[in-house]
Amino acid sequence: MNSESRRAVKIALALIAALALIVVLSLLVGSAGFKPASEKFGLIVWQLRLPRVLLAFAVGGMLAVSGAYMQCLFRNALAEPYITGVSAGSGLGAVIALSALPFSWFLANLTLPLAAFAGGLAITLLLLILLREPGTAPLKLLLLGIALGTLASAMMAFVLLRFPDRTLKSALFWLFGSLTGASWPQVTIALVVLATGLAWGVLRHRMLDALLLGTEDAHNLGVNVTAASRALLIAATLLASVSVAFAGIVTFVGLVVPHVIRLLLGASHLRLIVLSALAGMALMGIVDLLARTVVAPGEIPLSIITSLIGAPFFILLLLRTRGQTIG
Amino acid sequence: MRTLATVSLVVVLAITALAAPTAAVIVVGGEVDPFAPVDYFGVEFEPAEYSRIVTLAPNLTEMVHFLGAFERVVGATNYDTYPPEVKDCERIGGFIDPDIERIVALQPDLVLAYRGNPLPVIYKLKELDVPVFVLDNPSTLSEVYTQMMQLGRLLMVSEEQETRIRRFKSELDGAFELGARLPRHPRVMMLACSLQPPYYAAGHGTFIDDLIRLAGGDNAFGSEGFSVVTPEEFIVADPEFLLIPEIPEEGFREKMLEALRAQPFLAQTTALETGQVLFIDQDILSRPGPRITEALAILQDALVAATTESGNDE
Repeated sequence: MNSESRRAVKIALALIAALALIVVLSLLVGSAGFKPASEKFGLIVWQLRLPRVLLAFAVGGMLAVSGAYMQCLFRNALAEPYITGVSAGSGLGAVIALSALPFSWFLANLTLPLAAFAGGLAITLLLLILLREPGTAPLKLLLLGIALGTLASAMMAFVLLRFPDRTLKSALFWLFGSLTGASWPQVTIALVVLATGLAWGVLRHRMLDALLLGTEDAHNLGVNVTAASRALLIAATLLASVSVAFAGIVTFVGLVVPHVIRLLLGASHLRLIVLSALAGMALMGIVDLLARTVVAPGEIPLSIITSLIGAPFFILLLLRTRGQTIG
Repeated sequence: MRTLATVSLVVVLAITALAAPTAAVIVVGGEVDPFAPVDYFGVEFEPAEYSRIVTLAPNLTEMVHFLGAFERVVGATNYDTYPPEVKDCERIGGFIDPDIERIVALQPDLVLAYRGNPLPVIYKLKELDVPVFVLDNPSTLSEVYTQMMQLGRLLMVSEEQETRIRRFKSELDGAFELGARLPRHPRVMMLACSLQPPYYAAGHGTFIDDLIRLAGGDNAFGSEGFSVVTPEEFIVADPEFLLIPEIPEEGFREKMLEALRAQPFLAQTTALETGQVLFIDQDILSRPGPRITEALAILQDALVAATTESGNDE
């Protein structure tokens, strides 16, 4: 136990150091270069680069923690943040907002995220209405989520094709992940949501460990499985919705990061949640930096990079750990 | 719990449903002067001699050039090709991924955008106090004229330049009169260039549809907007003329014709049987800007020739 804890602390410190390094790098590097003498440089650094890297951290953290929660809820290693249809619902909300006339009276930069969040929320609420006890039938929850997600995707595709001039181009870019409009209000909201979601898990980490044992055993350990599962579902989808609202659909992070941490440090949720959050933050920080510098001027959508980095790395890791169980 | 969830869902949907029509009222409540520099969001701009302009779409650059204000442009997209001097402008990205850092670094006093640019970018620029004038996608050629007049007012161009814009409008009107007088209106279809199905064509509500109408043709493709044409639709529509945007590549025309003829449902259309396929430079045909009159002239000449020759009717 002790050596594992020490290992966890070492990795946590290394990740924190990495985060600091990524922040510094993000402030210095960008398509406008490094020109401290230029008039607009201060604006670029403090209003563009800094909120963007912080939002990347927040989104990465939210996705990783949401992934960990989903994997606990479903007791399944393949679960990830979007599995209950959140990304499809958010996409639908965003696309409807893009195709309807733009609001001039809104809070700047928050309309699109609000619409996306409303879509993700609607799907989750629908799920909760249809399924009374998410904890006792994870398979049913999964299938229902997939069904609703597919429905939302189809509706989204319909709106995209119906209003191609207005939505297709802007929507495509957001649908594959982009942090290009990052602003301080967004950063604040995202960090608060991340902190809340993370704190909840840290405080209830023993309950999460118990849930992983199965309905019967968890119940015998004194956990109210129904209530706990519902709360877990809400926490996970809230984190996923907010991250999709601000960054669009970013694949892979929510699936891979908790796995990697689990492979390195075991399934204890206290370590898992905290370190997944840190690792997710670091990953997104690097991914976003690459996204905005590799083909400057111009950006690569985030999902493309997360998949290109995440997949080979994950395959390597899986091949190197022989015989260790994952689920 | 279920009741709470149901109530929440209803509330969320209700708010969304209420917000949409309200937005419509705000934007549609129009202005009296059609050429006042009021952008798509309804923001009124002060006319001024803006001298550091960044454009987020090639047709906007061409419009500024047409207004004689090209030397005021400091940044353009990666896809800009006209005028040739645009290669000396700083490139700021694509139209779906403009680079905010580059734009801000250029210290523009005006950014010209259109509705297809990503909204987060437009909002972020506004948040950074960069003036962004957003134009809608024109669905008719007179809208192109209106937008150029608006830009003219916005940039405070000279009387001479405004006369040039009005001449553009009279060219459109002249073409319309000529087109309306044709003995018949041949069926025309504009296809996006692609060597394989599915084929996209310009339907109702696009500016190409308006182009065809002005030239004196009849858009054979009946669907809304820019969408896919099924093989059956091709056979039923039987276009007499095909309009295809041309890429400046060796042997493009031959390759394209060969690919089209390889599809039986296309090969039997009147257009391919009689060889009435018009290739127009894609920068002229696909951009709703000042050079669209060139495409209009090419199409109209072909239609006039086809309808006034004796014995050329189907």
